[in-house]
Amino acid sequence: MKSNKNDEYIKAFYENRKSKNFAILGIIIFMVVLFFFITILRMDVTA
Amino acid sequence: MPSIAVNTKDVSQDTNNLGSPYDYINLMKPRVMSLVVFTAFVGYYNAVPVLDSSINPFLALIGIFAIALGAGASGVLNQWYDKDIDVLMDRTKNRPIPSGKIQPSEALSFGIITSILSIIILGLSINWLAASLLAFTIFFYAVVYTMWLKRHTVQNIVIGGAAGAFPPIIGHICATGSIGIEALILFLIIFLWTPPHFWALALINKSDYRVAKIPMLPIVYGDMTTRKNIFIYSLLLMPCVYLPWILNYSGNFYVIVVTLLNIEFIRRSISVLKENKDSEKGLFVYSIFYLSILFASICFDKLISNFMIG
Repeated sequence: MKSNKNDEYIKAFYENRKSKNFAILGIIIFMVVLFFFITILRMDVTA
Repeated sequence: MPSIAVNTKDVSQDTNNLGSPYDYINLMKPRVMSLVVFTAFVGYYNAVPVLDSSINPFLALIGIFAIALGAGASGVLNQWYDKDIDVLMDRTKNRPIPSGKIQPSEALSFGIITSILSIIILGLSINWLAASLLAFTIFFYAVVYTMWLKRHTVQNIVIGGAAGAFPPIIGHICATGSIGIEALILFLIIFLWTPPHFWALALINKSDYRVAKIPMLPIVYGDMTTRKNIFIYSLLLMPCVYLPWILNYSGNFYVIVVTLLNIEFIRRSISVLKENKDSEKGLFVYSIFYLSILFASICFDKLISNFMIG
């Protein structure tokens, strides 16, 4: 019984950590795109 | 077979405290963020016509996003520091940190990272003067107000109100690159609006503040002094909202709207002074409506004048 409970906790822990890592990856990608656009817009390449 | 040595108790705490995206959004005080974004936008929009060449609209959007992020970051730092008193108050006990959804250390790192990011984004996308004022606003709210004024002086929300009044100045700097008199007037309006708004809330949640030992005006000097101060600050606010019209920054539409808003604000302040039932709640709710409509009318008035000019 105790072993099952332990396994559930470990599974939940790794699932949570995985989704958190994906969230951080998403934020990093968003920031890369954001800073790219800021650079392009500040350069005023469209003018 | 490889074994994973994890303490069950620790894991249980970790899994419960990682927090969902929804918890992180709540941690950023989205309602306060929306008001900050709105007032910053009005400060920006109000200043735009004086420009020879306006800012790229995408950069302006990124700037507004940075201001929202900065406002959220200061809300996170505020909740991190106030975790010990939030858990004592009914109004705040369900916030992500006291309810155990997010660990305090997670909130602190989240708050610091978003603060730095918001300043860098605003500096790179708009200008560094606006970014400096955003940095000062975050510092003022998180350190001066939250860590110092809130727990030590009865004037906490009067002085701390400046933090909420800076966004229109940031918006103005985004548009012009300098601090203008229109922005200072908007600052003054929010600064004088804050005490009646928060003291009405303090009267409603008096027992909460007493439990948490926060020196709000009703706790230290009693209800009647608070009611009198609400009325005095309401009287001070009334002439100030006419300044944009007196100095010719806003037109007749604005003056008609603020006159109507003022009449109701004074009526509700008198009602609070007379200790009428539920008058504090009425004033608190109305004060949010008051500020929103006042700022919207500044924008609308500008829109009308732009349309008239063609």
